[in-house]
Amino acid sequence: MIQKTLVLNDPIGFHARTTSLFAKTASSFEAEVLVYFNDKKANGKSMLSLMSLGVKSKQEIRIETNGVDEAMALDRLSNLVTSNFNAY
Amino acid sequence: MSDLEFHGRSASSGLVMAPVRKIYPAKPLDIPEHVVSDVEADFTRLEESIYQARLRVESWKDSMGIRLEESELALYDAYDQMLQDPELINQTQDFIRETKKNSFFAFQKVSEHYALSLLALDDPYLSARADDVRMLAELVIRIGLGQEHSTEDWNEQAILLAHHLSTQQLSTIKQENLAGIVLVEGGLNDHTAILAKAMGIPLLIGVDDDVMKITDGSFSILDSDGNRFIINPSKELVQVTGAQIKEKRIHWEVVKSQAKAKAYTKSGRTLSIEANVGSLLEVEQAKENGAEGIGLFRTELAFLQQQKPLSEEDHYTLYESMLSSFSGVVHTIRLLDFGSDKPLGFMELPKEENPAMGIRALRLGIRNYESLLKPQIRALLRLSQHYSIRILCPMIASTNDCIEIKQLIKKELEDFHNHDHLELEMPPVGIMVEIPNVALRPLEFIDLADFFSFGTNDLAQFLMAADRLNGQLSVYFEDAKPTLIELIDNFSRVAKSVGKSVSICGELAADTNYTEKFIDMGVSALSMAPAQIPIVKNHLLGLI
Repeated sequence: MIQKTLVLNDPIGFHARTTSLFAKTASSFEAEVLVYFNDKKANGKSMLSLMSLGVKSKQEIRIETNGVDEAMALDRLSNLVTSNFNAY
Repeated sequence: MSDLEFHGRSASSGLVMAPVRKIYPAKPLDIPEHVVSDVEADFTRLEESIYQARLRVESWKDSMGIRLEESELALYDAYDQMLQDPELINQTQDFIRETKKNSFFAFQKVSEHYALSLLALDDPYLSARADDVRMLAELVIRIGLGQEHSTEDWNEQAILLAHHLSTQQLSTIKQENLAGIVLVEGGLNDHTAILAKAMGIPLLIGVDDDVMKITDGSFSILDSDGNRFIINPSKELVQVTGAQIKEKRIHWEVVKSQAKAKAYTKSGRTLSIEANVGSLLEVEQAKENGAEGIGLFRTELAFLQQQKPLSEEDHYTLYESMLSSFSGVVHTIRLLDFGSDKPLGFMELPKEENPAMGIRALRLGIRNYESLLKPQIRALLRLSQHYSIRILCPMIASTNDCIEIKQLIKKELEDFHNHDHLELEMPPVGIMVEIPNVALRPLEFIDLADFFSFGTNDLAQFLMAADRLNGQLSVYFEDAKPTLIELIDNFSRVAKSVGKSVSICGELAADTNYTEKFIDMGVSALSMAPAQIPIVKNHLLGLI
C-alpha cells in the first residue's frame, strides 16, 4: 500500500467533471484506490462516492492505492490532480 | 383522419411540428418492498433495467448530438458513468445480502442515500447532481417495474400537451426534447410563460378543454403566432409548414449572427440590449445571443434551492462563477426577491393571504437581515471590487424603504473598513420601479438612487389590481401597456434632467412595438430573456 497527499487546485473542487475523470482513471487499474478527505473515505473508482466527499477548491486529499499496479495508479492519479485534470 | 384545429393565445412565439405528448400530474413511483427467495434472479432484473436505462441515456445523447456542444454532451457520459457506479452496485448488493429485500427497493434506498449525502454538502453544483442521481434511479426503477410515465421516455422532440403545467414540472422535462407547449390553462405572464420565452419554445395557452381528448402521439403543428394548434394536419399543410420552418430557421441564423454586434438604427441611434438571467446556463445563453450586459440578475437561486442559509463565502462563490463566465460587461444584480409563496428549505415563512403584496423581497430580507440579506450584500460589495456590479433593490414602495436599504449597504461598507481594514468603494445602487407609488412620483425618488429599472410585470399587476398568476386576467396586461409607457416616459424625463439612467427589465422590454418609443424617450437599456435579444436587435436595425 502506498499513499500521497495532494491539494485539489481545480476552481470548483470535486464535482461532476473532475470526479468523472478521476474515477475513470482509477478504474483503469487493478489496484484498489481510496481517497481520504477530513474524516471521510471514498472509493476512488466511484464518481458518486468521490462527489460525496464534498472536496472544495484548495483542499487537501490523501490518495491511497493498494494492489499489483499501485505505483502506476498513484502516479497517474496524482498527475491528474496536479495538472488540474487537464492532462488526460 | 381529418385535421382538427384548436385555438388559443400565444404566450411565446414559434412554429413547430412534432408528435403530441400528453402530460398528467406524475404518478408517484410505487416501489414494492418484500423479501425475495431467489435473490440472484431478482438482482438480474435490476441489472437488466440499469442496462436499459443506459441505452435510454445513450439515445438521449444521440438525439442531441447535432444540437449540443461537446462540453454539454459530457453530461450524458456522466449519467452513464453514474449508472455503472461500482459503489452504487456494491452497496445495493450489500443491502440485499443483509435484508433479503427486493433489488429495486434496495437500489432506491442506496441511491437516495447518495442523493441525500450530496444535498447535505450544501453546494449548488452537487445539489444538482443529487437531482441527477434521483432522476437516474427513478428511470431505472420505472423501467424495471413497468411504471414509466410519458415524460421520461421522450427521446425525440414532442409538443407537450397538458391541462396545467407548474414551473417545477416544466423544469424536470428535458428542454432539448420540448418542441412546444399547449395548455388549457396558464397566463401570459406566469412563470411558465416567462420560462418558455426564455427557452425560445412556442407556448399556446387558453386552449379548449377538449384538446385533452386527442390521442397521445398524434402528429401536430403548433403555430403560436397564428394562435392555432392543428392535430393530424394534411400532407399539403405539413409540406407548407416544413418549408416555413426551414425559412424561419435560416432567417434566425442570420438574426442570431447579427446580434453578436451592437445594433444601431439606420440613423445611428441605439440603446443597450441586455439580458435577464437567473442561472449559469442563462448567462451563457445571454453571451451567446449578443447581450451587452446583464440587466437583471435574479438571485433567487441563492436562496430557494438551498437547504441552509448561504454564508457570505457561499454567495461570493456562487455569483463569481456567473460573473467570471461573462466578464467585461456591467452586471445589475438584484437583491433577494421572493415572498411567502416560495418555500424556503431552511426557514419557515408564515402563510400570507396576499403574498405578492406581503412580506416579500427586502421586507423579508430586512426582517431576517443576519441570515438572508447581510451575507448577500457583503458578498456583492466584495465582488464589486473585481467586477462592474450595480446593486438593484426590489419592491421599493416608499422613500423610507429606499433610505433604509441604502443605510444598510453603507453600514456593511463601514464594517469592512472598521473590522477588516478593507477600503471598498460603493457600487451604484438602484431601485426597481415596480410599485405605482414610485412610478408616479419620480421627483420624490430621483435623488435617492443611482439608477432606475422598471419592472413592468409587477407594475402592471399593481396598476390593474390583476393577479399576474391568474390566466383569466391576462387581458388586463395588454390594457396596462399605454399606462406603463406614459409612466416610463414621465420618469425618464425627470431622470434625464439629472443625468440618471432608466432601464426596463419586464416583459415590455422585449415588445418590439415599443422599441422605437423607448429610444425616443431616452431609455438607456432594455433587459430581456436571452432568447429575445436577437429579435429585438434585428428590429432595432430596421428602425430609422
